[in-house]
Amino acid sequence: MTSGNNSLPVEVQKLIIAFSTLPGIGPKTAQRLSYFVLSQNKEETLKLSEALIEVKENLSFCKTCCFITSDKNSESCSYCYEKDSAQICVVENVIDAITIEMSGIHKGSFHVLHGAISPINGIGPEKLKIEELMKRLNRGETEEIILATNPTLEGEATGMYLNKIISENYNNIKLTKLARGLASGTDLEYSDFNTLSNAFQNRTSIDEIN
Amino acid sequence: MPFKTEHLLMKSTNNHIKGIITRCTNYKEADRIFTLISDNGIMKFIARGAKKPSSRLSGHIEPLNYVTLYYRPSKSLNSVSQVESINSFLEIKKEYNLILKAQYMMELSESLSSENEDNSYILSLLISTLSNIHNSKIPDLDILIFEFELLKYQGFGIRLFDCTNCNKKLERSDHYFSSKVGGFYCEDCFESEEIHHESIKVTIEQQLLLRTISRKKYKDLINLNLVEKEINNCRKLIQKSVQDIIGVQLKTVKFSDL
Repeated sequence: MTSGNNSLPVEVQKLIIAFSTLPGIGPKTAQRLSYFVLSQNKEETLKLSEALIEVKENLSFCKTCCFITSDKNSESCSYCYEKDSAQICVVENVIDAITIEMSGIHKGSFHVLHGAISPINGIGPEKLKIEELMKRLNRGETEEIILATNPTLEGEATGMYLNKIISENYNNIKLTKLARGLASGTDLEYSDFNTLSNAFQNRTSIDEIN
Repeated sequence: MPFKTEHLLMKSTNNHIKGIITRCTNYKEADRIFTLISDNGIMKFIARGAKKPSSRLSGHIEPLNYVTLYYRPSKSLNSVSQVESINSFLEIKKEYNLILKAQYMMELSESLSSENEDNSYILSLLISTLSNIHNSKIPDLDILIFEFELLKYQGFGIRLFDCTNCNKKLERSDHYFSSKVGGFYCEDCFESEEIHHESIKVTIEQQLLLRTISRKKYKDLINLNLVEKEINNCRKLIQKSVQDIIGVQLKTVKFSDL
């Protein structure tokens, strides 16, 4: 933070520091947001602060699927009861689960890992919600795990780690992962080697598509 | 590859650079900021729109990709206009343990590289190690050679043949290694100096392994019958030296089976 901020009122300084903690917000953007809040009318600002408080007070993460829940005290959320736990789709973040859910493709339940293994950023398997997933698998209700981690280096590493520990401990559970390959609307000319390699490996018979 | 379009692109864009992407961070809606180990040292770039599925940059902007970048220089972050993958190290990306080891090597290279300085040796060393590691019988040997060469190049090479205190030639026996001085103490100096607490006892076998690495070429080393346990012990010594040189422990160390 610049030294010029010291001359500002303490309240504004506190607001700038608070905004700076958000992902993707640097000191300059934090300042801009703070001045915007100052210029906003009181009702709008109160709405924002109320929304922030409500999110923290009313919502938390489910102890079973690690998705957002309003049932703070119960072991499993309503979503866990509604969905078929025979098929669990493992995703990195809540937003990934929401995207898949909105598409309506997946009818089973989700498990949110809250990140991906990234040693270079100091994130190992112990920092993810893998233990919670193992507890779910111990119940013996699961038939299939769909690994829907991102097709990035970290996502693939997470998928490989999960594949290793699940296949070692649970022989009866079918492990699948989302297909890798060319995305719709892309040009083959600009595809990278990894995508092309995956697209060739996962090629399907035209009869199967039709 | 039989067809190369690189020369055509070079004509149209003046600023281009080759390097390995070490880490990526998502930024704003669809941008990615990433770090590159290049011939010119560590460089940071922004790839606008790289998170969009239709982006022509998306698949190329990934850690552990050796790429040619075409960019517009800027005061803050250079903006990428085009990328071509040279090597994606697909064999490494298929194995969890190799990914962890590769990330360790990238972090180590990053920590010993600077900005705007000739870095071609470190880059070529990293590329050759990454290219060989998936075929190696003992990947840790490749990493040990990489670590050893990297430290030597940066002026932190380990003194293997004489005492770091009195310069006397070391006898053929176990000696004590100090990462702070980057070498061994002879028995006389070890007795007299107050260095006991910071030194590690190194067996003659481990010393011989390090000496062999310092003398032989890679193609000769990989054909030798070396003991994996000794290799791991030597890597621990080098790790200790790295930690003393850069002042912090690398984040990837605990994940790379040390």
